[in-house]
Amino acid sequence: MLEVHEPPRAWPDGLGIRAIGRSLATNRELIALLTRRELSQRYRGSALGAAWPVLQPVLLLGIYLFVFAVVFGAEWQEEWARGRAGYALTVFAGLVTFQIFSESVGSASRLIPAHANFVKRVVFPLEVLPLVKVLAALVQGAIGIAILVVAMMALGRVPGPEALLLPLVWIPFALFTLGVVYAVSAIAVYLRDLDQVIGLVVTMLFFGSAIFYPLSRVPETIQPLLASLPTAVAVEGTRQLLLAGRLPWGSASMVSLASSLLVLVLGYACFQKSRRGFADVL
Amino acid sequence: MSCEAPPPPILEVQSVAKAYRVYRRPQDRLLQALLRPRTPRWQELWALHNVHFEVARGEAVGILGRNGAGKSTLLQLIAGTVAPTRGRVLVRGRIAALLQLGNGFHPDYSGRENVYMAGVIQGLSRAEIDARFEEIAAFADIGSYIDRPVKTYSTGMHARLAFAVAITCDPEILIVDEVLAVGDLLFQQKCITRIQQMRERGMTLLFVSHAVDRVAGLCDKALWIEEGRQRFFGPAAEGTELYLRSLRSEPARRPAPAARAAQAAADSELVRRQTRGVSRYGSQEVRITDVRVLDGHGAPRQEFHFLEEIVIEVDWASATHSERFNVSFLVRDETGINLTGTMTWDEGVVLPPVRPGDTGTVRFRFFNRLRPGRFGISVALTEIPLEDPRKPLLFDQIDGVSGFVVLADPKRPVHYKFDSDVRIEIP
Repeated sequence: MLEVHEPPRAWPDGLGIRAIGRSLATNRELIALLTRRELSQRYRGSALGAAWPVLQPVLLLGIYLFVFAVVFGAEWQEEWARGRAGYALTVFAGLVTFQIFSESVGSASRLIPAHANFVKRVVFPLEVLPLVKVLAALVQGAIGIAILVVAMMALGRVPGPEALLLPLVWIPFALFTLGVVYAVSAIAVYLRDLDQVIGLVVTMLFFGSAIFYPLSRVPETIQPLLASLPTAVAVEGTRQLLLAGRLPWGSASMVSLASSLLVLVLGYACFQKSRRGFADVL
Repeated sequence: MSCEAPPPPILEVQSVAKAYRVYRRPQDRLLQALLRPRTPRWQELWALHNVHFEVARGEAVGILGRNGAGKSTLLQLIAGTVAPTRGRVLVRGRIAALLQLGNGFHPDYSGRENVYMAGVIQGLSRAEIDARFEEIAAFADIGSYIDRPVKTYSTGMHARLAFAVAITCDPEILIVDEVLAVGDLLFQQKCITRIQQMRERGMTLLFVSHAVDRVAGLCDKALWIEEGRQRFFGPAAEGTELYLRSLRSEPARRPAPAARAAQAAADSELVRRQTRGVSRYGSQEVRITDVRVLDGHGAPRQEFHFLEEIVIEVDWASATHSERFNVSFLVRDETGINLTGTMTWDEGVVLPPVRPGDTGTVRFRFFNRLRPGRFGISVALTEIPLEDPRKPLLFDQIDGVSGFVVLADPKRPVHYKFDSDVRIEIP
């Protein structure tokens, strides 16, 4: 005999990490489908098509290189980042890392309204939408890293074995980003103003995360604050592993993993608690 | 000794109620959800009150009700897109829901992508969807549009694809909400045929349609919801009849005199609509062609006060001979109780013998002694047999063919079903 169960519902109860894991496991196919689509859609219909994921970061790098290295004469003191080429690689590594955050969070406030049909018309596991955003951004980030490695080798530098530990930096960073996307996408359904605020916050973090300038150029009083920004931690970690060939702060990465998990749990809880009302607002 | 319990119902809706909270500002909703203040920031709006029914595996239930009665809310509760405020919904099977238009298609995705998405949401693997894709595309029959974004579709194409997807997922319960109203007739027929095939294989159906005859034709049971309240749940024939009667008793449009003349030969729109329902009986050798509710001066009217004269005019057209022709009417209240009515024979009015091709009109006049409320009218044409006048032969009978409303008069209340002209003496 079949078991009695409630109908599939659009508002699962679980709030914690286990609930996220469950949803991830049951919706594997859907997540893969949506992520593929998200990536293929991005440049669909453009003349250069698949070249854009490579071209876009390279062109961006050119702009920043001109403004900061040529115009402002910014420079790193560390030996692995000296010179124009060193500066370019350092900025690029930071840019690629930061884009995981900015791509995901920047569009988070429009995420749920853009999928209004999935909210109102079907029982859809809405919690996969933020995940798909972050996964797509991660894939783009991986492409960026591949470009970086090719560029390094072209300049006669080979990344050390430490480069293989990059996931240790990126996974906590992705979890943190996911947590922020959960919170932002949920709150933005109710508070449309968030769209404006988020743009500003992302820009603030962009300039605050020491992407174009060494942290040492910042007044000493605010250095610890900027260094502890999750985006700055990830940017610096990526550089250390790939460019400097050093392991970034052993204990600090544990702290960053723990705090990332905390952000994820809080963001997910916020999403789950407010999703029952999505259908009523949209 | 085996004592196997009967299989449990596939769907149980247990005392379900749904209140929507109306907030003044969207951010109030967020504050309410996160902070739970002691004084709520919303007002309640009840969309459903205490709806309670069970559906057995393989049954088909038609859901009747006017726009805004709460039908869609109920279906959303069953499909699980909306949470009930009270009560619960138990489902023992895989559901596919066609809730209004759209079926959760993403407007920017192509038809193909949406098919895959819908399949994956239903729990099918990519390979399974690959295997069914051709069938879905063939059923939807929208050609190369399958690879264009859904936002470029007409409503008809949208409905075609949505229906094709829903049925191909092989649901145990199919919820169809008004989807068949769009699209061309051919496709509608195709859908109905398909639904019937699936029903033969044991699928349970929940069906909402404004086309009451379709509910009567497809469904075993009917659920009638009015203003969020369950008015009826039971056999489809009875439910559709009750529902139709309530519709008839609503004030209707006044027919123009010219139009009435044109209708004289054929059945009136009212009667024709009724023909498709289940509540018409008889041999049809003599047919009711129109029924009008008029006031004492012959003007069409739907609302009456206490003691006002009500006139019911019945037009008929004959295709046979009848020596002892009889016309009758009956007034029922909303709960289905027969309140009053009579027939020409009983009143001693002898109608002239009827020949094929004859038409005629009978007018019933009476003074309204009913309490305020809505009333339905049924009309019948019969032949009174010489041998046993108590067993008339039925030519035509339409239940709930028309109706009227009795208005409340605060100065002259009628407390019970009707007033019987009581005289009071104080000796």
